[in-house]
Amino acid sequence: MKKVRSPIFIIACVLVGLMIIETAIYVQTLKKEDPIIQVSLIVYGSDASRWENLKQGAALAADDLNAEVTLITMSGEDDATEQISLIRREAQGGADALLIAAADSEVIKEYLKNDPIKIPYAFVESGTGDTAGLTSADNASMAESLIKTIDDNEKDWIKAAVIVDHDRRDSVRERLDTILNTDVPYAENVVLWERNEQEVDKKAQFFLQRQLTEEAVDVVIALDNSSMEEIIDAAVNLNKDVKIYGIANSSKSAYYLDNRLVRSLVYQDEFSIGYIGLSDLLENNFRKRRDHNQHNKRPIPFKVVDHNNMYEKANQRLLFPHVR
Amino acid sequence: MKKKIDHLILLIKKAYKQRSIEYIISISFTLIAVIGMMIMGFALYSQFSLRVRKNAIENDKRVLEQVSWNLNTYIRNMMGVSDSFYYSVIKNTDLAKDSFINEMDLLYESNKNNLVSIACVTGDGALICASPVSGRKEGVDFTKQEWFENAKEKIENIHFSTPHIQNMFENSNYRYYWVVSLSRAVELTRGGNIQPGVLLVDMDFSAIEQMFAKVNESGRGYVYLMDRDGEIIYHPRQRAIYSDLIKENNLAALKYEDGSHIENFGGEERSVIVKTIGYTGWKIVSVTPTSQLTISLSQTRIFMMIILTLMIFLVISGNVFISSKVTDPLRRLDESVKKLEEGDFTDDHIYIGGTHEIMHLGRTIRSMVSQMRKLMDDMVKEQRDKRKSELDALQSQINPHFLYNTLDSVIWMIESNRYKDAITMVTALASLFRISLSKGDNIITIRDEMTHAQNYLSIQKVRYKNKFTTIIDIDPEIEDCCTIKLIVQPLLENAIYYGAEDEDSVITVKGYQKDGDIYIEVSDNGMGMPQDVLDNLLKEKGRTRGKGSGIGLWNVNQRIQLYFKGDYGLQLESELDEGTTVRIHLPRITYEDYKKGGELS
Repeated sequence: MKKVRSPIFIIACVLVGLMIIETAIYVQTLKKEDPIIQVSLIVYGSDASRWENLKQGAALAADDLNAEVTLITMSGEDDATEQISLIRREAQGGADALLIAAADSEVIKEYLKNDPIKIPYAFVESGTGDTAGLTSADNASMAESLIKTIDDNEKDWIKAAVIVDHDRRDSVRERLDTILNTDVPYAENVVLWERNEQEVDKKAQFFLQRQLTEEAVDVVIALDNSSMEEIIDAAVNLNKDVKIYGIANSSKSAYYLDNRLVRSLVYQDEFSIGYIGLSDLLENNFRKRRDHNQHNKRPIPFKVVDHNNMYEKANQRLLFPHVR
Repeated sequence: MKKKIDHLILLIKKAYKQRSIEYIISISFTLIAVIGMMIMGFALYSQFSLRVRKNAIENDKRVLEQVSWNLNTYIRNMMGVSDSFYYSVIKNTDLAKDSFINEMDLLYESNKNNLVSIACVTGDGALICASPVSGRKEGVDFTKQEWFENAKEKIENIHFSTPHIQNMFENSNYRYYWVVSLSRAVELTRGGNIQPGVLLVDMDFSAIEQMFAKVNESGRGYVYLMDRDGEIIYHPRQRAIYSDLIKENNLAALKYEDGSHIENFGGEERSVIVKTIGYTGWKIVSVTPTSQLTISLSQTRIFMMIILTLMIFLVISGNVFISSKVTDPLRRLDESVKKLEEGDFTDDHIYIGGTHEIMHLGRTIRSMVSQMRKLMDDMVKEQRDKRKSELDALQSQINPHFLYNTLDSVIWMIESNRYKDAITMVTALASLFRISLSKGDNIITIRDEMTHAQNYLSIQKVRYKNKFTTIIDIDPEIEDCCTIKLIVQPLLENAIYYGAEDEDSVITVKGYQKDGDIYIEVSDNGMGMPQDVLDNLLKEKGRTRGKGSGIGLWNVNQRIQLYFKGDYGLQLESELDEGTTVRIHLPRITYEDYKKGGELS
């Protein structure tokens, strides 16, 4: 009997073990999908439409990785205190992760150093002076391309003004530094239009209008969307024919590029920034993509576009977000 | 190969032969049941998964048909707008005299949910009119735009563009529209002259996008749209594709015929269904990863495996239980027969149980064993009795020399006028014979046995002229106990012949009880005997016929052991030059008890 029962006993034990494993797997498969990860996308500025491309990219990545993105804008352009309060509020208020476009790189860096937040976070477009954890196009390359475009287009330019505003963002600061350090003809004739302490609270558009009136320049360079829109408004208000170049990608910039007030734009693929930024944040901290759902890992591209080529297929696809 | 199979079959047969019936039943039934269940499970699962996949693909096809129908309707509406405006308005209007702006506005108003604009331009790119009314964008050359070039290239067709940003009119609020342009060459009448022109209907891309987005909201896969060149018109991840973040297999899908296909793309197997929209040549492509088609199947598969495992477990348990129930009585019966083989003929050991047939078998074997045991007992008893009779008969024989010598002594006594001594001797001889006969009973009292011994000693003393002295000391309490007759006399005979060598010879007979048994010792102070002789005396081969009656100690010992079961018989002790003691060990049974029960053990 012992001879008969011992192999059967072993088989029975194996079967019971197998049943337990199968039941565990079955129960696992019955469980609902992984919970949705709530991500707060805290950006600088108050214009949500300016972030449409980036938001769409982040939303698609969120869709791929079962997350939900909430875009949070500020009431002002770059009030670091407000952004810190938003970061704190979201970190404590149920967000699982934060994707931040830093309004003031130094202040935000200091805040995060002194009061570390307990949820994962990453930066898009503008970080804290460190490329680690930041998804952005190469700002230096963009600035170099801009200078080259100006140089190519304006053979006889003598004096250029660079609007220095929002340079507390590391992205803008890097662009500015690159422009100032680039060896180009007439570089000694580059002036900086920067509001002084008395003017800092006044509207930038008025400062720029005054500068346009008082100081004759061949080219005005804007290094971010806000500066670009302010110089556009100033030029339109003054009805002044000034050659505006810049790094921007807002609808308004595109519109005035179409209208030839803006001569050339360097714009980064913010859809990719949103998509890759959020993908990396989630993949590094929460869940992996399935093999078939992988995306191309590559640097964020940027393009130089002018009135003549802005309607080319490749450009219009990236410059004009699909409005849903 | 055949050899190998034959060898395998042989091995299985051999393995089976070496196994118990329970093992064979359990394993065979289990194997058959498991294989059967697995085949059935596999067949059912295959059919089920095939059906699920088929249903999923059918469902995708239905969705695709629905989208196709919606898109077709939409496109036909747009073509209808273009047709009706061309054939009803443009062809009937002479631009030299009249304008068709009102009709265009009317048409736009009635279709504005799906349209961005309608415009008509001359063959050299001059805007005739457009609705909604809007200023032409400065510096834009219509003739260099794709829709215009297409219309001019093939004037007989209606052309559909891929989605693009409309670049014709001034827009307020920095608004740009993604449109799909439907353009056609038209003939304009101006002052009776026919001039070429182009009619453009810019369809709102959002309408197409919404149509597909709704389908893509739910479902396992997604649906996308591409033109006849494989360029994507709509894709749920269009921006990511434009940004080169992900890829789509649209160029391969372009070559597919309408219907369903299976493809491998990005390391994944996908079910692709293609449907071409008439006229435009656009293709709607439904893509569903096959893993998604069968995602619900994985649960079913695991569930089926659990059920299958449970069934196998139950089958094995059932088989073990049933085979045990069936074979356990057989096994127990087999064990009984094995005991029988080993010589245990106790019929109680034969197992009777199990099914009717096995019970019958058990009963038959038990009856057979019972009969065998009876036969054997009878045989043993018969042999024993025969042996007893032989030994008793042997014991009863009187040595003829003893009788001759005794009678010779009596004659000599009479001749020498010793009549009294002669009478005593004859009397002792008569008593000796009387006890020897004992009415044929072999069991007598110790008292009678000792009387017989005394008579014998009396005769021998006369014959040996009182050469030895006798001491008889019998415990009176044992005198009424049983003994086998004529067991002391042979011992005395030996003691006289081997121990009475001179006048100092003493023969002692002592009877006593110890530990509930009876002992009768016959001792002499003769020359004794060596140990090796002593050791052989009770063995059959050690029997020697000396100068005594010829009845050896062996005979006495055998008789005691035949009559009394247990550790009874003779014990011998001897020391050279000291003498020999022969001890009779008997059970203590009173003659009265023997007579009542007739049993000695």
